[in-house]
Amino acid sequence: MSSIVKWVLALTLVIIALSAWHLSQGSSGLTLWDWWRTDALSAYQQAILADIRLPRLVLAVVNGAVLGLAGAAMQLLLRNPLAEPGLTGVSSGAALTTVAVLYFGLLPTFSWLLPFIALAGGLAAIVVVVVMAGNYADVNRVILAGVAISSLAGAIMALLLYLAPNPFAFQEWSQWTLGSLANRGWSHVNLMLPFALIGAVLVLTQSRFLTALTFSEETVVSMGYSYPARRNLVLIAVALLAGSSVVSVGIIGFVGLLAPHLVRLVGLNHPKQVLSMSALAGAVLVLSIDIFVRLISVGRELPLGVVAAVIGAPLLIALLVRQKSQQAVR
Amino acid sequence: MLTIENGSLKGETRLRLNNITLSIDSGKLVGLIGPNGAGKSSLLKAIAGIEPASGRFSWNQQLLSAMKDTERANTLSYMAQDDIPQWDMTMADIIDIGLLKSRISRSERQRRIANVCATLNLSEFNGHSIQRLSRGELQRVLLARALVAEPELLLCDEPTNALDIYHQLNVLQLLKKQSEQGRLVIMAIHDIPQAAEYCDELILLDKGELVCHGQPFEVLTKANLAETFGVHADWICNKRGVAWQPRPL
Repeated sequence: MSSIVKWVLALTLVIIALSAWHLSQGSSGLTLWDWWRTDALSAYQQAILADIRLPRLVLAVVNGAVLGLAGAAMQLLLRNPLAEPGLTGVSSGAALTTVAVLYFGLLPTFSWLLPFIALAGGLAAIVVVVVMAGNYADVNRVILAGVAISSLAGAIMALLLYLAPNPFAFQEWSQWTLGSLANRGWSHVNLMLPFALIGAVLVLTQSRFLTALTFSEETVVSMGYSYPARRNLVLIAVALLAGSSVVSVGIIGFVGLLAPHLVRLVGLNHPKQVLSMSALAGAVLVLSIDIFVRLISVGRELPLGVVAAVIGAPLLIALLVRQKSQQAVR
Repeated sequence: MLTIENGSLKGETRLRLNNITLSIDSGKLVGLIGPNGAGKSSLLKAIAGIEPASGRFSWNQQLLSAMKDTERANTLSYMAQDDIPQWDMTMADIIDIGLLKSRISRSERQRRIANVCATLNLSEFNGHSIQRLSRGELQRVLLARALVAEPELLLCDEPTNALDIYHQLNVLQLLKKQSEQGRLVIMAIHDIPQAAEYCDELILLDKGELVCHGQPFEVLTKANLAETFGVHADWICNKRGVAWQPRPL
């Protein structure tokens, strides 16, 4: 059995185990064991499982997979281990349009439209990044364009919040951007799934191109890949993936950056392996963090996005230190 | 046979290639020489289709730009300068990237990789991660990536760059062997004595223009070297060998 098959099996089992644990958690105290023991659950218990815990579980798994896949695609596309989905500008674009809607007091009218407005903002940001990057076979332009758009969106957003006549704008915005799986239902799953699926299929169709990008863009073009076109396709796919995550649960940082690093850490370096395994690793990460969020009790549930960053950042630093010491040994 | 008619490439401020017209027969090792900025890399990139050049670039009377992706990938291969793989992979996986565009069976794939490894003395590194290879060994792996699709035309941008003298000669010998097997190998090279020693033909470029194309002793004249490199060379080259002592003019 090849090592990739072993790892896929292992991570799938971990996801199943974590899912069982995840389903057993919640304020009602209902556990999977109760469900197993009793022949029939009450309607109330069934509702808790089917309408609260199950969608939350699905959102955790799908969001983790989506962020892991998007992160891997970005790192392979930009040939840079520090790239992450946020570099497409999609998260900040989505956040900016949301704040604008809140700022102009349009939320009551457009509340059901908010996810779509956010996604449109994210996609607009990626279009600007693609246009700024131009036809050059130079990834640095994409990175700089992404950083520029993200900073600009961040600045405008800060300004809008500062000038906001509505004191609740900041609170509403922060709830939305901090990233949380609390109070989510099937509607959020339905909202994100189409975009996530299209994005995932698009990325996976480009796995050969992303493999070729082990070499420089010039070499890839000489091999017969049309470079700016395929690059833009992957960027849009990543925007769909990251956008689907942002509109359903808000901004969850570090998962997209960390998942591919974890995959490479166990020695799976082939781009095709990194793509598929990062999706699984991302799902494991988000599931574990969400379980952790519910295990620690500090009066109210902490936002998942914040906890992900608090756990993810030191973990990433530890990985980098470890890599550095390994290189020193060599 | 490679034919270039009026090949030009625009740069931001000046022409990087200006009306290059030449033709080269298969089965030769051809060196591109010239000072920095002469257009050596630009010419290679124009032939490889990496930079959109004007003019006609054809291989055996067939326009390269009109070929389908897979056809072109099987016709020519380009080896960029110092193009170190970004990710740590096994040698076979790296070489396999050269076959991404080839529609061939798995067994044919493995046969070709084994073949190219045998040719380039890489078989002992089978299964090794490329991080364990020295720079000289890695250069042979990069060459294997370019050769595994069995292209008729191989373009190398300074393949001896950053190598010690043993591996420089090693790579030159391997390229020579490829040309003797019927391929056309064109490489940009800075070392003039090595170019004279190994190449069947030289192409001397300066400021994007073709100065001279011919056998080494025809190209490496005192006048040509003084005009393009701005050096005075005491003794240059004859058909039997090379020795030179360049001094600034």
